[in-house]
Amino acid sequence: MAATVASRDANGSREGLRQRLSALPGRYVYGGGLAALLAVTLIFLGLGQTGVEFPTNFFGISERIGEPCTKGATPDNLGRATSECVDTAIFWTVRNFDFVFGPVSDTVLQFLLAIERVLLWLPWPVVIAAVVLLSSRLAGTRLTIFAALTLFGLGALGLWPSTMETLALIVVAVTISIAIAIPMGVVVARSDTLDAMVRPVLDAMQTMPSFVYLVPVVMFFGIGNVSAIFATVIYAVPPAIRLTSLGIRQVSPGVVEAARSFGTTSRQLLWKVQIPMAVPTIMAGINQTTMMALAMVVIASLVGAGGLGEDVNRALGRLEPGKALLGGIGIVVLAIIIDRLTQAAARKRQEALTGGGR
Amino acid sequence: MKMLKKGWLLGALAAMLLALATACGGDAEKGALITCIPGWECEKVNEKQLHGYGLDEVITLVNPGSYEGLNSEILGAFERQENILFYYWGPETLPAKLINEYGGFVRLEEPAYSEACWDHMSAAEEAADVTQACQYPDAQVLIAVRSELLESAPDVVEFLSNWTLSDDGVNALLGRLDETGDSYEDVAAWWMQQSQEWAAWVAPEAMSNLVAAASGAGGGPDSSKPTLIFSDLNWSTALLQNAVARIIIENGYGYPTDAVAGATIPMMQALAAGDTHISMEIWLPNQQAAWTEATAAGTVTEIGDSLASVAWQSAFLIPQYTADANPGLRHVDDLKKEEYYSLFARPGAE
Repeated sequence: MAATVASRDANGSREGLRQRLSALPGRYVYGGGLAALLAVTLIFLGLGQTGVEFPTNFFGISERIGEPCTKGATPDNLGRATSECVDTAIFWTVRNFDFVFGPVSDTVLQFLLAIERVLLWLPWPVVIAAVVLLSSRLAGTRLTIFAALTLFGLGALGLWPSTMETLALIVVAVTISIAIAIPMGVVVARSDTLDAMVRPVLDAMQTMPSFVYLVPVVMFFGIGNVSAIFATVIYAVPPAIRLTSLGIRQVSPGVVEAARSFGTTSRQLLWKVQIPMAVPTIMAGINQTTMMALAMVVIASLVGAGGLGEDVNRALGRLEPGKALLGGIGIVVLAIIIDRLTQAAARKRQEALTGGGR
Repeated sequence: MKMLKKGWLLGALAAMLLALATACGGDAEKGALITCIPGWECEKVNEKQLHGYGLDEVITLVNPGSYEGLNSEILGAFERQENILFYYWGPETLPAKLINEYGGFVRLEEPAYSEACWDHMSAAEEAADVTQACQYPDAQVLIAVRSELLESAPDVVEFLSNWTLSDDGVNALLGRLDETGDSYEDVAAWWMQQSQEWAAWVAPEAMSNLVAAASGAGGGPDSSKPTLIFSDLNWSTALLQNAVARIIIENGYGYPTDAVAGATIPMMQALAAGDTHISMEIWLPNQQAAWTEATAAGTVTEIGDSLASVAWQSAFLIPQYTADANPGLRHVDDLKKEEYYSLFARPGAE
């Protein structure tokens, strides 16, 4: 109390007020806050019967924003002005940037078709044998047996072509995601400002309901697998970026220091020290990206993607829950195999890193 | 280092395979027909028509995935003034928009509908079994209610059986919705002031209730009456019709109303199971299978037509600008010529 009085005398009333407030017991502060809220509520209720409306067109801003966007009546509220302008911008881009979207779409499509053709052309025992070989080297007996049995089971249930189509879709989406994520992750790892800027964008990409961008994506890339791939990339790329960045930031300062003292250039530091040491974390990111891509399979079928998602979509449209379940099981099997395989690969790499030092 | 070499080897192998696959794939490009939504009856019909017309050699069906996918694909093509061959139906929001803002579209001529031909197509299990095909019959759009409403809300059933929304009514509602972007309720209320069409459907005492409610003197739902639940189907005409019907039923007849939203097939099930009471748009023959199933138990009753205008559907629509540029393309048979089917070629449509 004595201190409060002293500071009021010394620093004038404003500083003194702050100090006196912070010295108050919490219940007075909260009580005062509640009373203020109550007072504001009463004032607003008194102003109008149903309360006070939001100012949706203050100073004619809505009209000014909305005017160039609308053909018909000028919007008189901010919500409509904004949505009209977004529409106009999207349609304008669709009309004028086909020379960009067309070739991009064709390239991705050719890539996908090539993978799809290879997977469907290979006799199924070859594909299963390849998976078995891979998992016995990476993961061990349990996964190998599981993979062989379930993949054979999918084939026996008549799901083989759909499974391969979905696999091709996932491979392309994940490849594009990695191609975007690793350079992005490296750049973001090196700058805190950039990291702070990119983080909310990634958050938005992960939380924005995919239906919101699914429909505009179709206008750009046309119906079918290409749109599905781009929608999948939007949803699935953030964890790979985050974990690449994290992996590089996690490389211990001691190691970086040591490398520098040997006179590495920063390119050498990146390629020979940081990226190799970050590989397990990057692999974890790729694993998450793949899982998220698989989660998009059915949603992607709503813009005409083929494969297991299409089976599920069509079965639901025809009220055939049994068929939908089969498609769903196919997706689960793919997810388990890919998840365990990528995790095992990351673990191997981690062991190689920690074991190699000895 | 050994690992790295192995990686390169694998990569080279994969690249070779991919290159081979790219070179091998892609025979002469077929035209693409953006077909109906997967799982709907029209998806099968379009496939059968394509085979029956002998077009499956040169045209391939492209699945749009969903109603939203179909719409945005078509709108995107019209924005870019691209050639597109597509399935659609009307009256609907998208065709209205295409006519008003994009110069419209043309229905290619098809062999005329006959019952014999349609029965043959319906009986065929697979598209390959179809030897003769013809165009869709004009569609019927029904209003259906739960059978118990005949007892518990006879006045509402009477009102809905008088209901038939004219072409002008549909266009006015859809136009207003597109122009203002208002809610379905606001558009419905606006239309009820503009048009007196609905007055003919309403009983006199309900009319006086509505007039009273409009002037702010009483009206509104009576909580002692049962709540009537509408099927909020996910397209504009159904939602607008629901909005108009709900205003009239709440204020004129005094029943509280509610709505449950969902896609076509689940909503049909909801009606059959009693989760909703009124569906303003049952499209036949498109939803025939689900409708037959729903009515089989006797819990759902048809009480009349919903739309006065002839509802159409066709798998062979082309933009007006495509028709203008290709005066020789008027009949589905013309699509057999390479100059015409190649207009609709798209990469990857195999």
